[in-house]
Formats: sequence, C-alpha cells, structure tokens
Amino acid sequence: MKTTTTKQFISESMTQSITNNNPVFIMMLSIAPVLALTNDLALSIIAGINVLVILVVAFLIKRGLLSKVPEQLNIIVNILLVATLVSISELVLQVYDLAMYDAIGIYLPLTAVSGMILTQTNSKALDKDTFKNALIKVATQGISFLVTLILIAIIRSILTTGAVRLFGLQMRVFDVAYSFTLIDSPFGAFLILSLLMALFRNLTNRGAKS
Amino acid sequence: MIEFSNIFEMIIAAVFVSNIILSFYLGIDHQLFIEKKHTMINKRVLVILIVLPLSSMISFVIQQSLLIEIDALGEIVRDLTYFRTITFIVVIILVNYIILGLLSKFFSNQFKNLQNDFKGVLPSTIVLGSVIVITSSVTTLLESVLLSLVVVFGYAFVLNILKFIENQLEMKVVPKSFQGLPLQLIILSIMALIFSGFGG
Repeated sequence: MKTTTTKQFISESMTQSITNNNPVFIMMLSIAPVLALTNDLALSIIAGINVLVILVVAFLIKRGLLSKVPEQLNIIVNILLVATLVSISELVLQVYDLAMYDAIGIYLPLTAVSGMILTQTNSKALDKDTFKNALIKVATQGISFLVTLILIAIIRSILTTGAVRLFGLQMRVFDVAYSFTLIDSPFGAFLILSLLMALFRNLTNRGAKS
Repeated sequence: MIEFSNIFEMIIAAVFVSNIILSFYLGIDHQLFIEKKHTMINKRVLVILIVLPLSSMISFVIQQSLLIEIDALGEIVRDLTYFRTITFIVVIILVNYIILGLLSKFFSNQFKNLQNDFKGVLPSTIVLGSVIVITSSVTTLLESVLLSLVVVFGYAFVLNILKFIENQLEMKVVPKSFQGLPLQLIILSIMALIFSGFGG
C-alpha cells in the first residue's frame, strides 16, 4: 500500500513539474543555459544532469546540516553551498571530458546562481513537507529541467541540421539542404524558446501572469 | 570572451557584437523583465554599475596574482582556476555587502530603497557571468574597469530599447500566450539578428 502511494506521489509530482510548474516554460528560471546550450544535445544533457545532481545534493546538505541557518544569511549560505558543489562538478567534468567542459564554458560556473536551484533550496514550502516528499519534489523539478533542455535541443538540432546527433550517433529527419542554420545563432535561440514557451502556455492554459 | 584590440573596438564589441544579453544571454531576470517602469530598470542598472566594476577589478587582481602564476618563459607554474567560481562569488558577495553597508551608513535616506536591488543582484547571472567574461577577456586592470563600464552600458542600452518597444506594443493586441517573456524574447531575437550585423 505504502509503495503505491509513493509511486502515485512521484507520478503526480513529475506531472506537475513538467506541466504546471515547468521551471523553464512556466517559472522562467535558468533561462541563460537554456538559450546557450540547447544548440547541442550532448551539452544540454550534461548541463541538465549537472543541475539535477547539484540540486539534489544541495537539498540534502541544506536539509541535513544547514536547516538552522538564520533568515538573513540564508541566501548567502545557499549561494556559497551551491558554488562549492559547482566547483566540484567543474573539477569532475575537467577530468572526465575537457572538451565538454570548454564547450559548456561560463554556463557551468553560472549554475552557482541558477534561479532554479536557489528557488528550490530557499523554498519555505519544501521545509513544511516531509523529507521524502520534499526530496521527490526537488528531484522531479531537476528531471523536468533536464527533459525541457533535451526537448528544446532536439527541436533546435533538427531545424539547424535536419538531424539529431548524440555522442557520434545520428538520426536524420530531413535533408540538410532544407535546414535553417540561423536557428543555431542567438536569434534562433530566442525565437525557438519564445515560440515553445507560447505553445506550452497555450497547451496548459497558462497566461502571462503565471 | 569579448575580443578587442583598442577602446573603440571594445565599445562596439561590448555594446553591439558581443552584448551581454544578446550574445551571452546574461541578465534575463524574470523579475526585471516584467517591470514596466524605466526608472525601476535604471535603478537596477545603477546598482550593477556600482557593483560590477569593483567586483571585476578585485576578481582580476585575485586571478592574476593568486589563481594563476606564469613564469618568465610563459609556462604556468600555479593553476588554481578550479577555485575561480567560489572566489568570484565571495568577492561579489563582499563587494555587495560592503557597498550596501557604506551607503546605508552615509546616505541612509537616499539609498534606503536601493537595498532590495542590491540583494536582488546577488542571485542574478548578470554580475557573476559578466565578471567571468570580463576577467577572461582583459589583460590589464584598467581594461577590466573600462570593459565593465561598457558592458553595463550595453546591458542598459538593450534593456531600455526592449522596454521602449514593449511599451509601444502595449496598445496592440498580443495573443495571451505571447504576453510577457515570449514577446520580449521575440524582440530580443530581432535585436540579436540586427546587432550581429555589426560584427561584419
């Protein structure tokens, strides 16, 4: 019985995170990496996983060790905590794949001030939840961010090159002659995010005030 | 990285070709973008204008003297760049709170309403991102100060044009799903296309 309830809660939380509480399309958080890194699917996946891991670890440390931090110092402690985790992830990525680290560039250190992570670690609503429920909500938000990044990256990749490329594998959708290379530029990044945001709002019936 | 060889190129690069919003996507702050009044936007720009040059200057000095050491042959003797993120963030927090403390002590009435703007700048991508871009683009301390001033000017320039166009569109009928950030992103996309032409 307990397992079913947990499964249901995970499913509901995941649905909420992807639709009504979508961190990019609805809450409009962490727009910079979304615009900058979605021109490459592999970069989007690495950046998304990085945010997910940092989000979960920051939540665990905050909940376990830093729950008694005074209100005035909360934002500074959160930024420093996330910055420390980002530094560690920078080191790991440098060791694992230096080319990928260089390609992500300034957007990896910028995770330290990511609106999405800081919103979750500062959330007072999460403090009222039980540990397990709060952890599920945080993790589903991270997964939702990853899924959104992948979705935008796939759409941009198809429009730019006519194919989806990932770690050497390629799936061609249409001939490269019909591709729209301008989508790879900042113009395309802004335009595609805008159109997807409007489409998503239309589908979920959310207006500008959301 | 913003590339330039003289001050004229620096201005063209930082304001048009490699604008901090249009090329690096920094400072796209939801709270700032929903603000309709130019005065509120310029207040935030004023805070960035105070914090960014100082933070860039101190971060540049720390990077050149502590994080990286290069010997006479041009080889890297010490490379502690993995401390860069945490170091720059500590610098930004300290600069922010020291300025806030000084302003509230000496100009308590005039600067009281800037307190929230100073706190709002801390978790924003504009200061940290700009400091990283500036410190990796310049070679001297003076260049770091000049480039930060030009970067803030470029930021204010794009933000004010964006708000001007948005105010002009207020009378027009915009579909509900495009109101707010989607419409602003479309304006930014057209501006990015126009500004990229300055690159030649």
